[in-house]
Amino acid sequence: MNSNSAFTIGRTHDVCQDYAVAGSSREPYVIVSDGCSSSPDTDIGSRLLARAAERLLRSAGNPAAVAMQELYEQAARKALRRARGMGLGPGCVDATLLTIHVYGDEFVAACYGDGVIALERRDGRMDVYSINFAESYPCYPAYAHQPERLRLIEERSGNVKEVAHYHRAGRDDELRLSERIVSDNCVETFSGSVADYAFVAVMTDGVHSFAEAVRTDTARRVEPVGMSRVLRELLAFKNTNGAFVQRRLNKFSGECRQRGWQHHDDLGIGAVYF
Amino acid sequence: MPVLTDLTLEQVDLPNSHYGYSATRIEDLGATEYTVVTIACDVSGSTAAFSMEMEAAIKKIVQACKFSPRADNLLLRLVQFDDRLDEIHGFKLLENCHAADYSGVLRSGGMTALFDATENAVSATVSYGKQLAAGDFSANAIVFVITDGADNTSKLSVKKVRKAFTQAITGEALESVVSILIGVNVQDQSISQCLRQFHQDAGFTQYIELEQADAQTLAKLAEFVSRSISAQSQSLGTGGPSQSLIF
Repeated sequence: MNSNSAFTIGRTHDVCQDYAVAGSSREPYVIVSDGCSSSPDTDIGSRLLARAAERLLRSAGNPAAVAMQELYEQAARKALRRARGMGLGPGCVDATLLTIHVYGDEFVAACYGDGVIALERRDGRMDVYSINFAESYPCYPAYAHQPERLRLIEERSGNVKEVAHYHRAGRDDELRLSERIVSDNCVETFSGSVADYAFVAVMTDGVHSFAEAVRTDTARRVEPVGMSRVLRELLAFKNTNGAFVQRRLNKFSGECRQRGWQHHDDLGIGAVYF
Repeated sequence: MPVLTDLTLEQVDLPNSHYGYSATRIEDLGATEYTVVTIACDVSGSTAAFSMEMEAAIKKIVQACKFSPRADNLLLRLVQFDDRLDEIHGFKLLENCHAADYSGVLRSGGMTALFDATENAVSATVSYGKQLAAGDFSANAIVFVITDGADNTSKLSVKKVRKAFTQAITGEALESVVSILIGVNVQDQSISQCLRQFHQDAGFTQYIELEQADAQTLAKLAEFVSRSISAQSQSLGTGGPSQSLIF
């Protein structure tokens, strides 16, 4: 087993507000956080949140899937306290949290806020869950400690949380949309047997922000690059030793430049290879 | 003589070449990027007088590289050549290179197959660079060829050496390649002229000429080599090679 993570700044950002950390004190884990681009100092807040979650994940001794919401909200509470100590406002902890950890013979992958979770089975089948909010206002774990902000977000009736499930039948097949469901859960959790899966990856919503320059004789325009195309490249790990996610992201970024692909949003990714 | 043969290294054949190379398996590498370093050392009969000092210099290079901030990103290959090529060890992580292992590794005798050795050094570098690139690793390279005389027995021509250098540049697997020809104990003007010509014709990045091969000069050479390695490694990611250092 091995875990690794990486993050990179988006084209329209001055500072990267995504953050990712990986480790393997006892069992491998990854934590990815995406700071809200319209809140102040979320580059710091996403780091505080991810590091608080890391400490809790390690001290909790690999919690079960049902304990994830409590762990995420506790991490947010600790991050808010540290932010206050630094003289920063609570808005800096407006950040999503995505984690993967191993729990006995199983893994738990979870997402609080928006993001993408990809699970590849050893036989090549892959399931991808893309978690989005209709009005692009994710419900962050820090809102659990800010009742007024939580109330405001809950009042946005159109801001429903949707989980789009994509499935790929084999390594040579394309990801196809399988179903879309509306979820009321704060945390989306996915678990499975380590023996059945090759790897699990969590990503920030930056994977949805890719676009390519298309040039014709008379026009130059920008078209979005579908998540399926991005994931096919981004998750094509060549070997899984050491910094395998960072290597793939580095190479992928170079290939994007050659193809004229750009991502306007920050991108954070973490993966555990079983 | 210490055993430098490492069973964890993979043996690789080079197409159209009598000699191949060995290298750390790609799946055993963990970092994101590597600088691939080759030192090809002439051990023809005329080097016998300073082979101990040369060994000391190699030890010093290995020790100095361990203190480089890029130590974890270096893969070192050491070959010696007279009229044949002998790989002392293939591309090996610096953490697995120990100065003490280099005692008694150089054996002197024979003629100077300088072109053959240079061609192999470059071709092996390019081949391994391709493997690294295919495994998502970023890589650049630096090749040192240390000799005290002109070629007098190679099977390959200078054109073949130049072709290897050209492939290193055009192949694009390696971000940049720096190659340094080092003439040691060059007191004969005709040898100097031959090596300068070889530097030009083959396409080396830099030529360094040392009139002496005493302990002090070779210690200075070791310092130059280790600084050049460190500089080239630090340039990785910039898209270009490091600036040539002054000896």
